[in-house]
Amino acid sequence: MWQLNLDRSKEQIAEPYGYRTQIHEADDSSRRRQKDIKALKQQKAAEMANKPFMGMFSTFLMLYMSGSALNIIPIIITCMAMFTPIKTLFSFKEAFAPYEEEGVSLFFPKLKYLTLNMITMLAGIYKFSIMGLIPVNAEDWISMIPIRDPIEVSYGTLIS
Amino acid sequence: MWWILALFVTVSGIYEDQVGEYDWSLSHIGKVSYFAPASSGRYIVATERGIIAGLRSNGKAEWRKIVSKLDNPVLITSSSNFIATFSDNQVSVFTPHDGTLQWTKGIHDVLDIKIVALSMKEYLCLQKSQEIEVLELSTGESSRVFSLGNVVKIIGANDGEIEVQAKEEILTIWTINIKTGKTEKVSGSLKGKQFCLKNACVSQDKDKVEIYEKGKFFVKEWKGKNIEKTINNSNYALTEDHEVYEIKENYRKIVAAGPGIFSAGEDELFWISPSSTEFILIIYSINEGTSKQAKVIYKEKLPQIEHFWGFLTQKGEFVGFLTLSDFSFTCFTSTEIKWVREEGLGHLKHVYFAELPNKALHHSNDYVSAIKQDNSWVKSPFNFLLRLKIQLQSFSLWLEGKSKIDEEKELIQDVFGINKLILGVSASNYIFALQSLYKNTVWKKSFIEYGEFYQLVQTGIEEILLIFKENTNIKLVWILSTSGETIKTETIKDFDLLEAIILDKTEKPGVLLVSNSLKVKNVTKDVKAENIYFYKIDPKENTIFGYKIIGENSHLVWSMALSAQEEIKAFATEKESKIHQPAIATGTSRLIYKHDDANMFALATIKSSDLYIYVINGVSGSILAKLRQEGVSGSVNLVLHENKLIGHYWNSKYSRYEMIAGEFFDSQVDTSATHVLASYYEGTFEDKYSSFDLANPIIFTQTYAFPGGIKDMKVTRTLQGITTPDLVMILNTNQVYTLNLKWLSARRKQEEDKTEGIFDQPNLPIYKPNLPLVQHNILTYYMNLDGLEQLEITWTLLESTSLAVAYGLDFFVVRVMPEKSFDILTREFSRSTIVMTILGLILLNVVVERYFSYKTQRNNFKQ
Repeated sequence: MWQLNLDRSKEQIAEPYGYRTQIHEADDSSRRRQKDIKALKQQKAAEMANKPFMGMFSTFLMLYMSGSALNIIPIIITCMAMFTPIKTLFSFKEAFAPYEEEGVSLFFPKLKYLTLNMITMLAGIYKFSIMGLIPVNAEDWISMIPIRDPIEVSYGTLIS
Repeated sequence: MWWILALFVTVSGIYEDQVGEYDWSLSHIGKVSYFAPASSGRYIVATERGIIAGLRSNGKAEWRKIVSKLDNPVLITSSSNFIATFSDNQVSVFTPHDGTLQWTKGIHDVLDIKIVALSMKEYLCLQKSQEIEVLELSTGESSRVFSLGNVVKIIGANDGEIEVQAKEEILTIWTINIKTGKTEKVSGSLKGKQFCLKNACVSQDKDKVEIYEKGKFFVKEWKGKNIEKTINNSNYALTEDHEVYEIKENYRKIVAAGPGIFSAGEDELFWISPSSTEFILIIYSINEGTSKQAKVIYKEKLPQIEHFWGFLTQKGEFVGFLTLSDFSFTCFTSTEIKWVREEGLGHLKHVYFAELPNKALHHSNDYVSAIKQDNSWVKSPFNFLLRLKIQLQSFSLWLEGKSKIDEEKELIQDVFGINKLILGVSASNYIFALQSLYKNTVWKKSFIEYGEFYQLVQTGIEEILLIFKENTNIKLVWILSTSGETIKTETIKDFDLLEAIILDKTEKPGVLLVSNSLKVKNVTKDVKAENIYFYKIDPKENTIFGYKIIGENSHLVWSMALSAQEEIKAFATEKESKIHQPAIATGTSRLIYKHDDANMFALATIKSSDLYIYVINGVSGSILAKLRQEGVSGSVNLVLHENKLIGHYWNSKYSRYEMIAGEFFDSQVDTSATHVLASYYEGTFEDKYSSFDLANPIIFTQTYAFPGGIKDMKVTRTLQGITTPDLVMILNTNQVYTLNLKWLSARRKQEEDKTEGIFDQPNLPIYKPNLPLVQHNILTYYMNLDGLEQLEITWTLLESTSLAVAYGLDFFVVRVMPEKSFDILTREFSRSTIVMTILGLILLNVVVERYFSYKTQRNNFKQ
């Protein structure tokens, strides 16, 4: 007769070819791998947070080089400098979605990401203000000042 | 996407380099008072404006000379070789073919001049009160002076001697022998009325005449009526019953004509008798004793004939010339009118603009009225819809084939509003209507029967009100602007007109008449007249009186007495340029406010070489500014525009022309946007102000040296008042010059001044004491215009463009673009490219929309 004893702890027989590793051994490895992935995600999130930083200098250089004259080139460059951070701000949830996981802290990367984008945007706003395109002065609202009509009207003549 | 299509509106453009093509001018000589045919079919004329000119046979002036000064009286005589004139104590001699000055000489007290030919040599005889001076005509050297006592007239030359009519009761003739210097006096025996003709003199005493001819007197029985006058440059005398006699030893009756006007040729006598639109011409051949009659049709109602000259050409054809009461100079033959020179336009006293009706985009249509009334953001969609409606109307007209309207013939306004009716009031008591685009006289009409012209105002799209003074009566005449036809007339009796007040220059302005007794008459009863004040500046009393109109009376509100030594030199008010932008964006983040006072007027006086300029509120009489400049003499020009005052004068202390610039500001300065926004949303901005509550302005003044004298100056006006205006001037050199008002700012800072003032405006040019005279700003470029005295400026429907008219002797119409042609398309502008680009973008939009719609559907299906 044959028998199958599932308790093989006392046996010293080599396991058959292709027989899978013991379960408890496998659990340890998965845990380690999960730990690696979390670290990777954290690292990737940090990289994503640094991404705006990489484009910042080229943007600043372009803003500086385009001058503050009111013509189409500086306006286009400044609009692009403004538009890119705005676009990324609207899509920053999607940008960090792959890194969302329990135990992965995205607060600081997100904050950094937002801050860097805000800095680029502020640079654009500053450029617009230099160009006089942001209505912050009294003279920007000159059209609000109504034309006054006189209550009394006078007419005159020089007798010849 | 289809809403984009709604944005399409039809636009038109003119090219930059076409602008110069639209200025035009008319050259005049004035009312002709002297005429003489010259060689080669030319004519020599002299006019009441003190001009001599050589005309070609087609009426064009080949040359013209202002003898001394415009309107100075000129004595003229001419021969085939020379023209001699006396004016302003100068005797001058010109050549007839090109008007070249041969010589000129200062001689005083000349009463008459005459060229006399003696033995192949020509002399110029100058008649003075007690003597005759004879000069050699070709050189001007003085030959002799002959003291003859009182003389009447230089008759001419006879047998080598000059004959002069002495001022005696009995016909007395002096004879002067140039060679020997001997003078002799011969007298007749008959007392009576004396007439001296070309070669003879006659003295008539009832039925007896004494005739002087060739040094002898003949007493004869006179069979005709009393001699009334002589026919110019002939031996023919005209009696009071229109009979013509040839005066010679055996005088004879030539013809008995009816009432008419005579002119004498070599051996012919020409007689014309005018009727309403034609005149009869009769040519009498003296030697043959025959006559020919012709009828000449005049193109319109014939004005009164003032002068008539006629002669036969070498081919024996008759040519006649008329000076008419409208001051026109007309050339005609025995069959037709050949040409007419409208010289009434050379005597213009006033010029007004009238709007022409426009079938598609008239300024009075709903759209333009709407944007004029309210062009705010809130209203703009409604205004836009109105504009679309008008465009659709234009489009439907185009579909019907009615868009190509002959603007010149139909008298309509063009799309740019540049075609206006220019109404010129002439010293001839005629009003001339010209089209500003087409250089043509649309109509001319005499209003002499209504009295002295006072004022003209457009009261409707095609209606004009003319105001005339006739002693103590007022005549109001409403006419059709496009034809000059009288619509109706009204007489206001016992109303001694002091002032006509045009209440508002809109399409239906109110007109108030004020009498010297301060009675008020509202001519346009449907227009309410409330809170109306008026002032009169009385140079006799040297006082300014301010009144308030209450009902049909006016009451004195204020008066201001000038000192007795002050002479009023200039007065300026600017009712038409209301402030379009009450504040100025200085470019320093500060907002400064113009002193917004539509009731300001300026008055310049000179008191012992000191110039005083008063800026006064016409309602309250408060003096806003009193500027003083030392060492000023001569004429002063003043202009008031929005919050700016500009004066031009001669500074005798530094011997230069100067301009003074003044600017008036409110003390309020806004540095914060929040204040402006809060005021706007809280509604604390006032949209009305009372002259009694206005605070005194802050005044800036600056003086500049200007390189020339000017006759008149005005500021350009544009439709919305957005364009920075130009100051347009008529220089003493008769050139029309423009200068942008930024150069005449009183706030231009000196280069070394680094301090920052709250009214500073960095975009103003740095202060330089000399104003520029830039050649390309001379609007008359190389044109040789004369006698430009006054200037009128109006707006067009192009914001960049004003229309200016300079007039006086010559007439010059020009478009002025102070900020260049920012709303005018360049020649390179391709309408087809822009249309194709827009259509391409629309097509691309449609294709991309369809493509992505299809792609999305496909992706969704796959999922």
